[in-house]
Amino acid sequence: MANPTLFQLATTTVGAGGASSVTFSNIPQVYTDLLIKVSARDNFNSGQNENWFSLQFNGVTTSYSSIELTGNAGGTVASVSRGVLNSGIYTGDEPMATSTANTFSNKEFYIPNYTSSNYKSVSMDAVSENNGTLSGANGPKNTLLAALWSNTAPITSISFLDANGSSFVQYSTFYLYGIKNS
Amino acid sequence: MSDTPIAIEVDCSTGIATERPLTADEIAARDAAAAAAAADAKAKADADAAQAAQLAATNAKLMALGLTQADIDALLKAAKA
Repeated sequence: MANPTLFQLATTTVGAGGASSVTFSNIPQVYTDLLIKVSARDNFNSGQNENWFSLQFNGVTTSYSSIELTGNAGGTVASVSRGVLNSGIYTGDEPMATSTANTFSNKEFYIPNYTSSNYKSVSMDAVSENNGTLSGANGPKNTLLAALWSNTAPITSISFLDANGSSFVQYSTFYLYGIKNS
Repeated sequence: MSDTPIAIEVDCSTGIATERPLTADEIAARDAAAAAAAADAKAKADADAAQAAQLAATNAKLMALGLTQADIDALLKAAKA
């Protein structure tokens, strides 16, 4: 097999006004896999210390499921199986208004065979940076996630939807890459 | 932050990013999703709390029967293996 080649397809950085969602549309159907890198923080302000965003394909709000393995600053490791959440795939924690200033989450998604007529799998590894000022469940958290979109349509658009009616803050960044195996 | 939520769409065929305010329907859907997510989170928290309470009650009953905490921990460890 030839060495895989990585192509940057699209990128965006959220401006001063914030954004409740980011969408990559008209994704070319000529690559083998997709790779996404996100660095995000949002403005949710509530009793909790972390918020999240969900991943949605083609604007479809059904047939997502996932299981995740998390580890937090308190040494707690947990496995959580989820069904549909916020109309897409839950993607682990991200810092919000009450988190340490200027900290962001870092998330990487891999979507193999995104043009196929089979169900689409997604893997993710992520860390929610919180700079160690909070311990236990509210501190930094790692998440490994495996997800499935039980839909046979090729993926032509990908949306990142911030949860709880909040918005991504300025300097949140989103990168989309195509990987070609030939 | 803008009062009206903004959506960013990047067209991969052109590389052009477009910002636009959410429509009323999109805002309603977003609010509904937020409410559903909050309900999901509360249901999970309630279930976790109920499970923890059940576990504590069961633990207390076993200790009342004469088992030590070490005995119970050993049983739990064996059950999980």
